Amino acid sequence: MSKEVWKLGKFDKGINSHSDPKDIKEGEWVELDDVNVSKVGVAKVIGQPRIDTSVHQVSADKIIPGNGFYRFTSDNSFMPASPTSSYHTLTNIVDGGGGSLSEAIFSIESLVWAFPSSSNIQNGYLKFQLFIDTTAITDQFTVIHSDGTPNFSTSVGSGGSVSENNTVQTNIYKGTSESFGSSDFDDLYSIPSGRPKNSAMIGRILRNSWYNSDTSSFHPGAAGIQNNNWSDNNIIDAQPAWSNIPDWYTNGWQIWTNNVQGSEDYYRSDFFWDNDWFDELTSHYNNPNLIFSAIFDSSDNNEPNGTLSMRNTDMMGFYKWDGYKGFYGDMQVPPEYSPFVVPTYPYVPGFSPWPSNNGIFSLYGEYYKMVCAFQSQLIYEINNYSGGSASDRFYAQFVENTTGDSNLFDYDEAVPSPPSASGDGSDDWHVSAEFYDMIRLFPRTVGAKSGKINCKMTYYNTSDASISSNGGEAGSTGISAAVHLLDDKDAYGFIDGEGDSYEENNLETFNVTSLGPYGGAMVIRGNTDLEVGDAEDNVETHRLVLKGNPLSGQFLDLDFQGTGSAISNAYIENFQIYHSTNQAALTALKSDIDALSGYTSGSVTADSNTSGDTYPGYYLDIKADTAGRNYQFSLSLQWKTNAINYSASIGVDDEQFAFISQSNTTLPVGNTTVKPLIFKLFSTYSSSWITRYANTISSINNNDMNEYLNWYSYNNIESDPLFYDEGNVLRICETNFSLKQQLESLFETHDINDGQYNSLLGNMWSNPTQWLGYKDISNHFGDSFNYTGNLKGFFIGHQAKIWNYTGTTKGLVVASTDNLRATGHAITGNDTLMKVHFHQGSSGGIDWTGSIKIYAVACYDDGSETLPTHYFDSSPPSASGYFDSDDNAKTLKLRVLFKPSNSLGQKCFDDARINGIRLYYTHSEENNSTFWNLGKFDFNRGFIKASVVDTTDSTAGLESKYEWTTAGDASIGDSNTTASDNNNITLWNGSTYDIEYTQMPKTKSYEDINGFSPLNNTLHVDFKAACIAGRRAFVGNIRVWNGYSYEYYNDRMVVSPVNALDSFPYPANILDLDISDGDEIIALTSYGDKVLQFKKRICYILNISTGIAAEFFIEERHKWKGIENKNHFCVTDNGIFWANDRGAWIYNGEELKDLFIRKGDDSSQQIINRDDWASFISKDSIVGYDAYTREIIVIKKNKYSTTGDADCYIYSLIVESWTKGVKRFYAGVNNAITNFQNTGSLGKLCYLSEEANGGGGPDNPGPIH
Amino acid sequence: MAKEIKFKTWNDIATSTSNFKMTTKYTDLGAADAKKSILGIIINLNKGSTNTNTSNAFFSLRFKYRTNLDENFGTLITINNSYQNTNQTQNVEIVKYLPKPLKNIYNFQLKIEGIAIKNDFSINDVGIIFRKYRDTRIASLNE
Repeated sequence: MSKEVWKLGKFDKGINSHSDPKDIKEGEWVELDDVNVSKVGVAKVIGQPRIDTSVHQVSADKIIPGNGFYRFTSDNSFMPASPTSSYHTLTNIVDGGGGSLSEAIFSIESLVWAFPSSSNIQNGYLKFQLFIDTTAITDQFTVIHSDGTPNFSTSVGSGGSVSENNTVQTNIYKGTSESFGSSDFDDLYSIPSGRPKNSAMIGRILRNSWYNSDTSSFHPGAAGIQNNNWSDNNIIDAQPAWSNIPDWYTNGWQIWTNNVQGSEDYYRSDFFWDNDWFDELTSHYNNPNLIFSAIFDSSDNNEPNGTLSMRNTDMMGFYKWDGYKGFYGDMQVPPEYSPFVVPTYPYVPGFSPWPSNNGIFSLYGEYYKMVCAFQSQLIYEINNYSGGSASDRFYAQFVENTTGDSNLFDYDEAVPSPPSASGDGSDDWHVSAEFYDMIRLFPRTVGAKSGKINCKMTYYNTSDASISSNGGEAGSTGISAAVHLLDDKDAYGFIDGEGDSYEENNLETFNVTSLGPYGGAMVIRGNTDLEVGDAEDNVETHRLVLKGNPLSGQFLDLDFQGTGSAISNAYIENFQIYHSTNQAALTALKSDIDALSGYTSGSVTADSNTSGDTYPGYYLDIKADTAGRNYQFSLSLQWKTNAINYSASIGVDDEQFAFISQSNTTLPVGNTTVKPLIFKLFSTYSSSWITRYANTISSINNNDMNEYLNWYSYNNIESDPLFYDEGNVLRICETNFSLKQQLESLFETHDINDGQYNSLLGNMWSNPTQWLGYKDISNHFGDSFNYTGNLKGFFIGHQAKIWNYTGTTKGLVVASTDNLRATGHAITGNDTLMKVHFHQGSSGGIDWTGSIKIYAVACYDDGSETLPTHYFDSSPPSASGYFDSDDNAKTLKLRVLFKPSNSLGQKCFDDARINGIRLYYTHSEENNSTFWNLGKFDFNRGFIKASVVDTTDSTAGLESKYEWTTAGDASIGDSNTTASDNNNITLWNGSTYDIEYTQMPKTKSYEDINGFSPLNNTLHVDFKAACIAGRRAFVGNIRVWNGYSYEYYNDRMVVSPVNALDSFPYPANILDLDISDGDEIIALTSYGDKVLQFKKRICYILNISTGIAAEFFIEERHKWKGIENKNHFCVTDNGIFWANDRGAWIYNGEELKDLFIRKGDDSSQQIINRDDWASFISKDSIVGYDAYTREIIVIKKNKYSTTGDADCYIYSLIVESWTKGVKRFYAGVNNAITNFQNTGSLGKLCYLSEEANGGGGPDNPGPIH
Repeated sequence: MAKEIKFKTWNDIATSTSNFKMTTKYTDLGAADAKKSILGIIINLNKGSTNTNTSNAFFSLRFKYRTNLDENFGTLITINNSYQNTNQTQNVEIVKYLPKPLKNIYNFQLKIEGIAIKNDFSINDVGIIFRKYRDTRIASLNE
């Protein structure tokens, strides 16, 4: 027949791991790891996240895993942008560090201890320690431990009873925590497809592969062996070890002698080679010499011909001796699945022959098991070493042979993605299925490091004292000239590029002549010395380009935050740009920078991009004074208009990134502590992190939620922040109610008061929902009053719209008399009040009757208001029949005296969103049921009277306006100058400060203005889920204050009025879909005119197309399609994607598509194995979407203890298929990443990631030498 | 001690992997009852042009196979190439025959492992070269 080709040219159908491999369709694959198939006909390597310096690095003690990151766009920024201002660009042009790691790739081929039989070493420990030159890089760790009888010599005596054998096993290798093993090694005849996993290896003893609980039987394959060549005729048979000895190291031989078979048998370990053994069983060559005591010489019949006899020497360890090569067969490393092809004879531990019915098997594989087990333990010890100095610590990992050849190069190229640092047993730690993998050893810090790999082996007695030289100072230090089994050649290497290039002859000619009565030696294959890496010579550098008017007079703050371990924070505050040129300004700044400890700067250089500008720009490279990762720093710049007030700009397009991290700083609260959460913001327009909203207080009593994010963690409970934004305002909400509860209890117990106003519980707010946004209050009160402090820029504050302004020294009060000129009426001292007085006009009134009740609300700049919870209870108009009289011509008059802030800068209405106070009244003749608008004290425009035209166009021709003016200008100070002296202001129309109503204004009610009843209980709820749709905010899983405690409704939603995204009228705006089904709302999101409510077990799709809250309705219910975590959904081009442990779906506004089911022409099938998926998805998984590549990415974990935690599934919206990524998001052991966001016009998936500080983590080792 | 926090973005151009793995369906190569011999593989691939400043583009592929789903995969062929100093994307077709054909098989499953790939690399087509000993038409009931 002619040749044919089975062509695999289509890859785009992705993984089908669920169907039988025989039944998957064309283009589908049983397995696709790290393969991108989104381009039809091409299989390429999958992508990976990379560091993007467009957002500068920043420091943090700890990322909240899977949390705390939010990207949004603002019309406002933190850098001035006027033509007369100064401004800058800041670029992190060099990331500190660089260099490359030194490394060695090696394996320990042989490791042997020898003891004179006369030394009578019985019990104790043999410990091993690895060195680079004379510097230890591990602790001493026990390799063999015996503290009972029998001892190392395994002189078990005769009899061979089962119980005796078990005793042997138990005592010789006693401490399971001090040995190592792997159940994966159980099967000697076929290495399972599972690899020798380290998790099974650490701290365990290898089991006898033939171990059988049936203690009465041998392994069926154990046919015994007789060898006529044995010179000692007493031995008639040798049998593989009893199957009832579970310990692998004692898994050697049972020997029968001629004397009385069965009664004089011996049990011998392959690992331990004692002289008793050889007394009975001499060599195949009738030569008792240990093979390393030999010169391999074919002319000598390949016979050990040294002088060290096994008759007087005990030996332990593993020993590779290729001297058999060519004589008994090819000792070359065999294919990985059949390493047991070489017959050898019991000369060397681990090389015992192994009889079977099918012929002779070699325990060559047992040798590899020993090596693999030992090296696994060694790697563990290297990775967990905490001794010595930090610069002397190393990491190690297995590296796989990539080609089957033995070139070092092949190993060198093999592992670009190192394992976890701790070597703590992850199942992907030893990545290959080969026992003969080598070790990559590299320092934890990059840079030039050299040295020779050495070891030290020490024997300790059971009292942990090293044995005296006489009794057996068995320690052979490779670092001294003490005792070397292989003399001075305790290591040998092989040559790159020569394939199987063992220096066999060299090895074979090692004549171990210097072996004393005891000693040890290590034979290394590969690099015997570190290959020296390059030094970390990259100096962290930030280029500051100063532009704009050098005489702007603005001030610049430079905040240096050392992210490396060896550089301190520094701060330059209020550096004024007031120089003839930007060059001169930077020269002055350079001087300040150079004076900082740890920092320096380059020369001031002209910026070619702005050389033609009116004010040419110049740049200065700001650097650490030392190269290396330990000297990295981040730099943030913030501008001020003066020494106090920060600058800002409006009308720009600024992509901003909010970041909340966990601080390690502790703040005492009573007898316990809390830890602040640190909020930072990166402004792309300002090319800088804005750090001033980070909580830096040192006492909890100094808290101030109007200055920073006033959040804390407590009892190691992690915060769970939720962000949403709209209208240039960012909202940050704590959704961990458990944390809030614990903080509330703590604050109550220790009576911690809020720096602004206390919570409904009477103490400091616990992680209150806060807002951040640009506000301009510079026009408040015109020229009549000026606030001190920030007038224009970014403000932060409490989201809750709770009236909190009724007070005697701060807030709204009723004036006690209608004469604002009266003595003692002025607002003085540190009071900051709005005094309003209502009184009667005696004539001109038209329809005033009965009485009225007057209320006040705070008005916010988004048009919303508080509930009318301020009632002017001492106001005369509320008196019964106040307006009733014979002529009924009375009018209502009001007047106001106001001191907006005191000399301390404290504002009467301290929420920068508040732009006025509106008055409402109810009429007794309407049963006081309707709240009618009376007018608004507008802080910008004066009094806006109800029922009059309110236009911002030309006001000429309108009826008289009341505008803000000073008390003096309003002549309030005529008889009492105190008011004007204290910056009291009032509303004045040029002739009077009385605002008079001749008619009862009944044109707009509270409902008309706000869209909800004033009789709601509250506008504030705490919530765990939020989204914005149809210009409304939807929140869910709430708690609400009922007047005496919080009520929790985990399946309840509340919707805001249109455009009032921080107001949640409760209970009027409750949206209960399915009440109390026991399931909690996890997340809310919107797509088109649909809101998706995700609970844990169900997904609701809510139709909000009517725009009227009362008419919203559930359009679809999807059972078992809920989510566990708010990170389990994302917004894509094609709709909302989400996943749970059962599957993944996408909803495009009309149709729900199951992404695990592929429908064919005549059938459909599941394509992802449900068990694989169920074990992959957890609460810690993260879902994200990269709009640029149209890939949906699902990561296994947000914090990594193993590299496998960073695996991901990827769904391509282009080809609608799945593929899998391996370790793609790994950030280092115990490091975490935030949630995902999308950045830029391309919508690239982005996140923040912890990196090992100071460099050298195996996750990010940098280039290898 | 504070940690460095780095901003990262997803990039669909990889720098490296040692975990590239593709496993095909278990196939009878179109003739369920015919014995076949696997003679070799043909692969059309694209050697990328992206060299980083620290390493040159490189790939090492290992083709594995099994003829029984209960068996482990055995190595069929390895291919590797380091293409230093190359800044041109190259399309390459490699035909590699086995030293000894894999004879007398009925079914076959192929696994491609990219055990060391650096920088751009993609596979356009993979083909298994085989020969049928005889060809018998049978009705398949498992489709």
